[in-house]
This record gives sequence, structure tokens and C-alpha cells, in this order.
Amino acid sequence: MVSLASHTALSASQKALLKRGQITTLSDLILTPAQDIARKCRVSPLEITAIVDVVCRDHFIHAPTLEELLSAPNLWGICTSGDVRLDAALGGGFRTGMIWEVVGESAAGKTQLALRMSLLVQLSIELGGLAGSACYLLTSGRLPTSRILQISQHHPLLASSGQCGLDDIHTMPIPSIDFLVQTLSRHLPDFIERKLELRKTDSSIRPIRLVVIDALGELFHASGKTSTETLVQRAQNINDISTHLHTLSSKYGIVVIVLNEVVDAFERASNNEEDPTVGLTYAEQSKWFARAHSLPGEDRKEASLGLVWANQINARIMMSRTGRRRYTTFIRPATQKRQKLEDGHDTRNIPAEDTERLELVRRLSIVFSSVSNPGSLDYVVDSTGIISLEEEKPFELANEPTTASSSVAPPLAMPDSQIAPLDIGFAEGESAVNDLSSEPIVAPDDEDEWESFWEKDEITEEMYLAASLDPDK
Amino acid sequence: MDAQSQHLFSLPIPPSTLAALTKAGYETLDDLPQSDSANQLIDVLNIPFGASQTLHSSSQRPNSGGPGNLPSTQTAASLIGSISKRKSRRFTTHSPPLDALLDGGLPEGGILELSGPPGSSKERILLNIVRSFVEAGKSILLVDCQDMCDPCHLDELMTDNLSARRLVSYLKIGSLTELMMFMNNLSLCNDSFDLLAISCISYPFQNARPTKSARNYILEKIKQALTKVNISQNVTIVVTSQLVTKLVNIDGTTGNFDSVGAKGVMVPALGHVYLPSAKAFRVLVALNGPTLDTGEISTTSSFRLLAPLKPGL
Repeated sequence: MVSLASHTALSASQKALLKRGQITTLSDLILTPAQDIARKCRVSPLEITAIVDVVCRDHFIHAPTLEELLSAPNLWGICTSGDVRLDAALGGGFRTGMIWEVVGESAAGKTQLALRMSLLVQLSIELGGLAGSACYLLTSGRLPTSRILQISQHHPLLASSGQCGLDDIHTMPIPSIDFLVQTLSRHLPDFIERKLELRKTDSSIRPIRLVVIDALGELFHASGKTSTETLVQRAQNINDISTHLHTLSSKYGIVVIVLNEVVDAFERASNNEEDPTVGLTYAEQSKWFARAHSLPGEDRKEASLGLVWANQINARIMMSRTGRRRYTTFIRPATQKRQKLEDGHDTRNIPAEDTERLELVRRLSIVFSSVSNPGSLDYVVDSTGIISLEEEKPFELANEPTTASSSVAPPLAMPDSQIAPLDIGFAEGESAVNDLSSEPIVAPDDEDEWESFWEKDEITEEMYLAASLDPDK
Repeated sequence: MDAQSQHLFSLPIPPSTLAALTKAGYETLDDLPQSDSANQLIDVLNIPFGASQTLHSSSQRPNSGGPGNLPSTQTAASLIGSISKRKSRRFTTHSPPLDALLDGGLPEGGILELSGPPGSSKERILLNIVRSFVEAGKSILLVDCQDMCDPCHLDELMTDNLSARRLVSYLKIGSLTELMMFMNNLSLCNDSFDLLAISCISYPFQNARPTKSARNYILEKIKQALTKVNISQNVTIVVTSQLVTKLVNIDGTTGNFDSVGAKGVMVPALGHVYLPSAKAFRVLVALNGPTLDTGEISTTSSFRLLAPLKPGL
């Protein structure tokens, strides 16, 4: 934050005055009520207003026109997803300067997509990449390097370019929320800057243009006892993470992809009498922004982390295993060995000619996006990553029931007892801020007690994630 | 506020009925005609039975027959004549139900807040309004607080309009401090603009987490800045805001997570303090259906006027 002591627009006496009242940063000056500053500095409010005006004028920013913005070299760009249909659905591909969330069950294919993006970003601009490198932040486990190699060798764009590999994928561990916040606020920006610095003398160095977080939801599971994290803290963590991501993506023209988990979606009893002059019912609204509805059964799952997190992102992409099958025709490269991959995906040994087979297909839905309309497509996971399928023609409709439980991964439900009370999204209430110093709001001694308490509660954990303590007046 | 002057949009009637009545110039229960004329009105405006019942029972008061009543001898045609004196130019939001709610569109010099959940069309509508102004040859200052308005995407949306690139100025705001300095400098702007569009004005607040008194001070300052530029330069203002969930008890009081039976209600994050209240339209954009996989149609949204603020200028 800009320190006022070294601010060029202020006179020495003004600086001294502010120092006396302990107004040290720009934020202090701008966001504290002028009356309060005046009192602390022991001067009249008029003097403070004058100082504020001087400083603000010094920070006056002339807003460029779109013409000026787009004709000058800029950091806006789009990276291909490696699949033409998916690019179209996304509005051209993955754009920089925004936060994309990819949410879904385990083994739906989100990691596959993210791994391939880490390669595609390295492609030259002409080939659809951003000529950049990737930072892959992992909460647990290690980067599946052999899978990455396989994708780079099999995907047509990547294989033919020969430009993309593991060297330009930088892994960083983020085993906890604190780690993630530290990484995003300090280590990652430092790393990015260092790369830019090195690039000045060595143009082969690729600047960071993609950041992947794999996976955010994992960090918000209850880890051990819940007493250390208050509910306010959780929401603040989400806000902080989001702010750092937005700042980084804008400042450096980065594509930010955050992988997230799903939880089982429960039908909440929604009260029929909704007071139209007050607000919207959470139970009703969350259905539409947390779940996808393009196929029966797709809405069995919803994105975790509730409204607090949903408010942070610019686009939400949901990937589901649906248990459906479709006839597909593939043309595959001849050299493809059967492999059991690290994460359990099979690839088949397929001859080079076209083969029509009944494949297990998955569903990708764009639940919302600031740069494209909602939409859905079918896809399968293969050696090239993920590959989309054409829109289904009516006679091709598979007769498999969509709720075949055997082919669906077990739901990744968050443990009710430990998360629910602590995930109320603190938004604008002051009491929460003031209460941080007082004793913790909940300190469950008995886990079982909390279990049974929440069992009977109508209000779900997602609701808690979104509720504010002190609504604005 | 007594029953007779109760605004129509606080009644549980469908948005289409509300739109039809508002368009015809009726704003409050006071305005509605009684008995026979009411039936004629209902027929002519095609108000569904349920809604007409609501209107009928709501307007039955012991001392009805105030100055707002129209004599029952008037013809249906004259009942539809516009009572309003609104003459300001209107800019379409390219969303027919919202245009209807606003009686034709956003009035020039008006103020509109759109708040809604993620995925609601509030951001899309903001860009639609920007486009409306571009089509009219007006200039716009677009302030992007949460990366929702990608300039390349915006450019693509308006490729058919050659002057768009010159007319739209774009600014990113990254923190509450930046937002407040921007507000402070609003009246300083050497280049004037006709529309001020602020996307996600609520976002900078969530990270800064000001104390209650600081927050109120900041919201007041925003109100002053917006009022000043709106009145002195007739700048039209449109802002979008996110919602936050508050827990409401059965009896309507604010609850906390200990309250039994409390339900979650989503309300605009910043409240109304920051808006020049006399003029501002505050619209809640609700999601009311699944996204349709036809590529063109975006999420179904419905609109409702939130606060009982007097529409029209």
C-alpha cells in the first residue's frame, strides 16, 4: 500500500499532521471518515478534506477509450481450450483477466482440462496459445507428469508444434488456506515479476499467462478441529483469495482457472410466500447458479462453497459423469498403447481407421459466464485430454438410464458437522468484524452433538456459506 | 405510507400485470378506478383473474373514494390513456420485461441499480444499456470492478457500430480505495460522458471490510458523488451489485444461524444508502429457470422493482 510519508503531492506539514494521527497509508486516508481523521490529527475536518482532495487529484486516472485500449499493446488474450466446440461454447476460448471456475466430481475430467491448458498456454499466439508458461498450484498430490507427456504427444496442436512441455509448467504446493493466500499475495507475484525481469535479457523466457488452482474446495474441508477457524474467517479467506486472483489476472493478463468440487444437491423446502419487496429466496436461486440442468440427473450435484465463492468468479463450468452412452466415431492416431494412467483413466487401443463405438460420455455445462451464453456439450476423456462430441441427433439417443449408480463416482460431500456452522459468508456486517476479538461464536466440544444438531436443521451448509451476520440497514 | 398510496409493485401480482398497469400510468392503489371501471380496465389490459382479485381486495378500503378515483362513466379507452407526464428520452435495456417495468426503458438522466445472483442477466443488461447509448451516439464511461466487462468481448458485441470504440471509455477498479478516489474525482472529469456504468460496485467492499461507521461514510460519499454528476451534468447512471444472504426469522426479524426456522433471503449487498434515492430505480434480477441449451437464449431472468421509490421523472 502506498505510504503517505513518501507521497509526492503532500507538503511536509501535511505529512507531519497525518503522522500524528497515525494515518499512514493511502487507504487509511481515503477510507476513514474525515471527522475521525480530523479528530486523530487534531485539525479541522476541512483541512483533512483538502488533503484528501489533493491526494485524489494526484491519482486521477484518465480512462482510455476502447480504441486507445485495444490498439495499444495490451495483455488481453484468449487461449484455446484445444477443442473447437468447447472454444465456441466458451466464447472463443479461455480469456485472460478473469476467473474461470471448473467444477465437477472427481474423475469427471477437470484435471485433464487443466493439465492440457498448462500445455496449450505455451503455444504461440498464432497457434491459439498465449506464448506463456503456467503455474499449477496443487493442494495435494503431485503433478501427473506422464499424463501431461501423453497429452502433449497425442493432441494434434501440441504434438505438431513441439513447443510445449513440462519445463514451462511450474508447480507450487498449497496444502492449506494460509499457504494459498501467502502464495497468491507474495510468492506468485514475486515469481511472475522475476520471470518478467529475466525476459528482458532472455526472450526465450515465457511469462506466466496461466494459473491453475487444483482444487479449491479441498482446502475448505474441515481439517482437524474447527475451533481455530471462525465462520467469518472462512468467508474472509475466500474473499482474499478472490481479490488476489482478480488482481493477478488483470495486472499480468493471466487466465485463472480454479478447480472446485461438488457436493450432493438437496432439495430445500422453499417457502411459497416470498416477500417480493425484500429479496430473493436463497433456496430457490442457488439451484440455478450452483447446478447445471441440461440433462436429467445433472443437477444431482452442486458446486461447493456456496454464494460467497460463486460471487467471486466470472464463469462457472460444470463437468459431470452422467452414466450416458453414445455412439461415437473417432479417428485416432495409430500409435496408441493401452495405458492405465495415474489417475485411473483408460485409453483404448484403437486402430487407425474409424470405429463406431458406444462410449461412456460426460457432460460439460457452462452454468454462467460473463463472456458467453450458457450452453452444454458432451465429451469423453481420451489420450489427448478431453474431446467434445457433436450435438446428439434424436435417433442416437442412448437408452441407458442416467442415474446408473454404478458408473457414478461417490459424491464428495463435505462433512456436515464441521463445516456448516463456520461457513457463513460474512459480507457487510460490522458486528462480525468487532466480534473477532471476543470469544469464538461456536466452539463445539462434541462432534456428535453438532452432527445431530445439523441433521435436524432445515438450513443447509450451503446456506450458511452465504449468510451474512449483519445485514445492511 | 397509508394503504391508499400503496405502490402497485409491492403487491403480489405477476410482473406482466404490473408492467401493464405501470405502462398505462397507474402507480398506486390510489390510482386504480373502482368497481365497473375496474372490470373494464382488467378486461382491456388482460389482467389474469388471480391478479385482478388481488387488486380488487387490496383496493377495498372503508374510505375509498378519494381524489384519485376515476368516475365509472369513463370509457375503457380513456382509462388506458397515460396519466404520467414522462417525457424523458428512454434507452432500451434490450430486455422487454425490464423495459416494461421501467415504462419504456431507462430514462435519460435516470439512475438504475441492477442486483442479482451470479448468472443473472444483470451484467448483460448493463452492456445492453451501454450499447443503447452507443447507438444513440452518446458517450459512456464503463467502470469494471470485478473483471466482468472484458473490453475485447465488449468490442465484439458492438462490431456493427463503428463509433463504439470512440464512445466507450473503460476503467478497471481494483480496490475500495481506488473506487473512492474515482468517486472523488468524478466531478473533475474533463471529458464529459452521458452514461456512467459501474459493474459490480459491491465487489470492492468485500475485501476492504470497512467498519460500520466507515462503511456508512463511504456509502454517503458515493451518494454525494453520484448525485452531483447526475444533477449537474445530467449523467445517466447504471450500476450492478451482488447479493448477500441474510437469515430472516419467521417473524421477519433478522436471525442468526442459531435461529430455528430462519430462512435465507438474498438482498443487495450495499443497501440503498449509496443511491440518490429520490430518482433511483432498484431492480432485483432473479433467476427463475434453467439455462436453455439453444446457444442464443441466456438464463431466464425475472425482474422486480425492489424498493417503493417513485419511478418516473
